[in-house]
Amino acid sequence: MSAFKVTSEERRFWICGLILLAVALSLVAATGGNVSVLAEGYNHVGRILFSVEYPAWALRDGALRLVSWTIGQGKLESQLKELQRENLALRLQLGLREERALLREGGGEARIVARYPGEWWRFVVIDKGLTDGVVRGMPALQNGRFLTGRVRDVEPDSSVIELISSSTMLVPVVVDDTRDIGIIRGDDTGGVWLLYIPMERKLEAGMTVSTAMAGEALPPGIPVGRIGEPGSVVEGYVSYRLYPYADLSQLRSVALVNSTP
Amino acid sequence: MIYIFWWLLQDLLQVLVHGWIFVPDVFLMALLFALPLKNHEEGLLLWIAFFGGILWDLRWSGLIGLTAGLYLLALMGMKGIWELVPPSAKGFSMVLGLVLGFHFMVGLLRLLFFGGQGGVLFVQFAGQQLGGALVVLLAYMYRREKTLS
Repeated sequence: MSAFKVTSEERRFWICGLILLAVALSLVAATGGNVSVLAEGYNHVGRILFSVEYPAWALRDGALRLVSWTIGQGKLESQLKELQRENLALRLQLGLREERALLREGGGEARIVARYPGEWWRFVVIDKGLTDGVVRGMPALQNGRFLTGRVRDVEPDSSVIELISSSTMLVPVVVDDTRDIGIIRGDDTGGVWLLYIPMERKLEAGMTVSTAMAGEALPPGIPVGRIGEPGSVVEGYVSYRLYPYADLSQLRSVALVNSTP
Repeated sequence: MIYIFWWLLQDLLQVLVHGWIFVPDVFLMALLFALPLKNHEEGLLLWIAFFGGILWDLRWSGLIGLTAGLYLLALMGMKGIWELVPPSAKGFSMVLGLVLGFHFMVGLLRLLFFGGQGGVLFVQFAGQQLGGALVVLLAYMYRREKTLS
């Protein structure tokens, strides 16, 4: 029974506790979360404690900055890669434009004046020749953009363009997404194939292909076409169908690029 | 004086963790530990809890009297239960259990009072309770070390 004996000290504890509790609840009821009632009090406490809390705030800010910097670093890296790709593409286009400017001085757009049925997918004849500044090996572009072929023979007033669908036309190219290098060759029936891609390299349909820097007179970065379905495998190398951007069945004129500096 | 330290520690912890988890009530835990273990005049602890709670409300909760009331309830509950515990069972482990229990209750009541639901709130509450458990563990280890030495 002694456990239930209440000493005067304990009584004081409970009375004091109940009174303080009543005061606390009264304060809750009186202010009711209305911040404006004690705005001055809040501000005062905040100001006093700020200097004490300052190291903790600084530590928190530092930690947050570090986290945000770490996350931002990854984003920056991917942005940098994206910008590098864009820069490369722009430089290639700029180079192409300069080449076109050179061409305009020499000859500009050339009309197709002959296309023989027996060599339909191999050769076209244009109305520009030596006197217009055309030289052997010049790339010919459709709409001033897409690789169509190269100058094979030059006469004083005309030239023969060998199309990319010709089986004797070999052009070094690069897959823009993977930087894999291969050769394109036609099949004389309107088809174009990307050759010499190692088997372990998995190229996907839709990837774009442009001319490669291969030490020739052909400027790099000229858009050629898109990769299609894979074809045969020969000695560890896969060939892929290539769908040229240039519409070889609707050629009316080509632009010649003077690639010599 | 020591309770000012615990209050400030809780305040600094709140600065560091607010927004992520609810801060463990280390100030309250210090008072709960003191109630059965120290030879304070117990009424003094109530006053300290009251003013500490009011100050906390002025600094953080925005609802004057809520934390003070919860701290007072916890202290009075601790006192009531401690008086009911038979003398043979009054040990440090019992204190640890009661402190952890009242810390949990205060956290839960505060959570219920302010309302809200969802996974984030649960994580914040769980973080607070884990912090409380860590304090209890540290107290246990400190006590053990002291006993051994």
